[in-house]
Amino acid sequence: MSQPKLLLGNEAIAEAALEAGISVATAYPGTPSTEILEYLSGASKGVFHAEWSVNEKVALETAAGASYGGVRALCCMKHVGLNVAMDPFMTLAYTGIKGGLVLVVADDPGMHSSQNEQDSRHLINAAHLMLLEPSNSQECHDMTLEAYKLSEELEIPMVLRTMTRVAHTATPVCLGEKQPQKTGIFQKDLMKYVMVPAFARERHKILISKQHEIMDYVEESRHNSLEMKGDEEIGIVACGSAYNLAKEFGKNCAILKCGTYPIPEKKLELLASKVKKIIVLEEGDPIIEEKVRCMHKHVIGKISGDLPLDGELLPEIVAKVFGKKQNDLRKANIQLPPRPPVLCPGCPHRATYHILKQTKKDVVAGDIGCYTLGVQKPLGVLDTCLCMGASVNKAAGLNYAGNKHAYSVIGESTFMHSGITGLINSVYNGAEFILIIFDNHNAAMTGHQPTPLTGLRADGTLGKKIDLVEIVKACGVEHVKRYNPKNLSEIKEAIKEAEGKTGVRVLIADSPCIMLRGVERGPIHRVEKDACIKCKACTQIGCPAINETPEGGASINETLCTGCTICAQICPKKAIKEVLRQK
Amino acid sequence: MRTNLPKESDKRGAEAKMKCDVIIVGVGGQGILLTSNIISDAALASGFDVKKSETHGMAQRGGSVVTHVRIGDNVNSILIPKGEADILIASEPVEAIRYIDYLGPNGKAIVNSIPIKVPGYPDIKTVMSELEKQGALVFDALELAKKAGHPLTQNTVLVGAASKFLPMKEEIIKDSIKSNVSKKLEENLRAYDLGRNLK
Repeated sequence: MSQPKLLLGNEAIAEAALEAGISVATAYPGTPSTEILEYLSGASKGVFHAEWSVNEKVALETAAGASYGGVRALCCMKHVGLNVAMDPFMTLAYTGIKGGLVLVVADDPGMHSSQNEQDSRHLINAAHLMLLEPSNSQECHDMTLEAYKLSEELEIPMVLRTMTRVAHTATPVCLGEKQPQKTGIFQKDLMKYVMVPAFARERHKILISKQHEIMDYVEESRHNSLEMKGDEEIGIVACGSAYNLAKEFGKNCAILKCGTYPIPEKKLELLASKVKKIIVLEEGDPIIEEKVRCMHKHVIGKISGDLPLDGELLPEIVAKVFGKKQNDLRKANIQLPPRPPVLCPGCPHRATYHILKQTKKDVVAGDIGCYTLGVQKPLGVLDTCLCMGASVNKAAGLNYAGNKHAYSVIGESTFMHSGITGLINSVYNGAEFILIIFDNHNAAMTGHQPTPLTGLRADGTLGKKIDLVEIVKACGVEHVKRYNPKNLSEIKEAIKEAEGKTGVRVLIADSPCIMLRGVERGPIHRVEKDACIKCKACTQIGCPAINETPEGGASINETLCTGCTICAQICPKKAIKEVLRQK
Repeated sequence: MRTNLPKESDKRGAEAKMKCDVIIVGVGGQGILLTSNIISDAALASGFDVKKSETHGMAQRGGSVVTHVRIGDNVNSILIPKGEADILIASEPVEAIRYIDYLGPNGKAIVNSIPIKVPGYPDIKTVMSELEKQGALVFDALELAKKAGHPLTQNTVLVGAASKFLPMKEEIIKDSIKSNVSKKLEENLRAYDLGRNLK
């Protein structure tokens, strides 16, 4: 047996996928799932195909194709990504698969980096499929391998449901031996793969009959276990990650550990028959709690009001339910400023937001990415953020509602994900607004992944580079202009020119993300104290490198400054000058 | 989780249960992940159970970041419950105060004194007096890092300062530093010593 290594849940999944001999891995970046494909793409060159797909629907369909072709495939996404992939997902349950197909869906209870905290179990339930949910990295590893076996035995896509705390927590893992990859061959089977109604009706019957096999597995699975002596007063039903909390606080309690969903009913019945009270610990919605309430009169959980229906299960909250007294907490009597994430010093989005703030407009529809941070003061420019690619369509809808000066901002990666269809629709159906595409040459917020617009692939090879201006023109847009978002005059010119036109106008802010490797930084700048008139204009652009001095002027933190010169361009007295870069 | 190394709990017997919860806080970009990796790798190498929970995604963007490193014979909850951390390591003073409620009544705070200011940042004197009230060990880790040979060894200085309170042997911690730093090994080991030998 190998020595254990500390691996993040995501890393453990990637290692297991390698051991399982996958031939294809697809994903769209999404916290907290991104690291899986990042880890895999390092190992993929020449061995298997790993790709950043343009969106989750594409990713799942590609993985399904590989699976139809008889090889093992992995597809990863965050929970809202599954929303995008639901169309193929629902009908994949009918067709089933050939080579094992494992779909990793990462939930985000507490919304650490997401627009909602939806519970993916509902969607897996809707498809009549099952999932495995690990509580630590070793289980991430073991369950991934198990998922491939099950996927091929039951001929269904298998879901592995993780969440932030499991995906981004490192615990000890013992790895295993690598299995050889399967050789693919597509076997013709019209009734299985072609879902016209006549065939689909038969496949639905088959899916229904598979439910028995799923429940048989669930009852026997080693990932579900009942830890019970028989004399305990309190029983805990703990799902996935919540098992850790059950072990932390549930001394002397019987524990039904559920690593699958659906959960084992016979084991639950046995627990319910013995204990006086059941505490249900599950992240997300009270899905299991509802079931338990049908089997026992005294159930403590979210529906009962003992645990909150929103947010993640924090240990302090769970401790209360077990009657554990908390130490008196240390208190500090200082008002602390919030420290949310902000646009980096030198971010190419900053100046466009600064100019947009001063521009006459009715509304700015926003989207998902680093540029969503434009909602924060002092920039405070965005008015909406809903889901990937929505900014374009929201702007159109707002325009139809009477907003003649509507703007939409979107990142280039988000645009490739699901903005193109909205742009075609807006042009075709006659909307009037200005779309600004922030092209910073990567998907930045999730960790600087490449896009088709650079041609760079996940494995580091260079593929076909796709031209953004050509795509925009092909959508029917007549006015499309690239501009340098680090030059204030250019931004003002570009906006003024677009405002003079009609229809859907597209501006492309073209400048690389300052955090990308190889991107040159400008000279450090400094505020000349004597020339500074304390107007504070430079402190109103939200640059973390610029602070107000006690005297009311401004100063620049030279370890943070990246020399973008925006503050220097804004300063009415030209009091911000470059200094020699110190090593 | 069985390891091949002798379990520390086997040596200790069923009664005493070792636990050491370390909460590591700072500002995105300061490198607290390195601090967490050094400590958690050393803990695993010593035969302890370890859980290390990180903040990802938002970290580059200068936001408040926190890592929970739980070390013990048997670690369960991924997050440290409030009021139960044994050690708080902070690479920024306001962040130390922000997370001070995690530190247990007998816990020790080890804090770098250099502020990274944001709008509304309190007077530094107020910050320092609050940390003093909390019994924190506050020092200029950046100065010691420069003394060791490179400003980026700040995190290793903090590890050195915390090492007196950690259950791992120094040789194992130093091995962990070696396997976690990609360059400037000598400077990092010097930085560790400077932190360790603080008054």
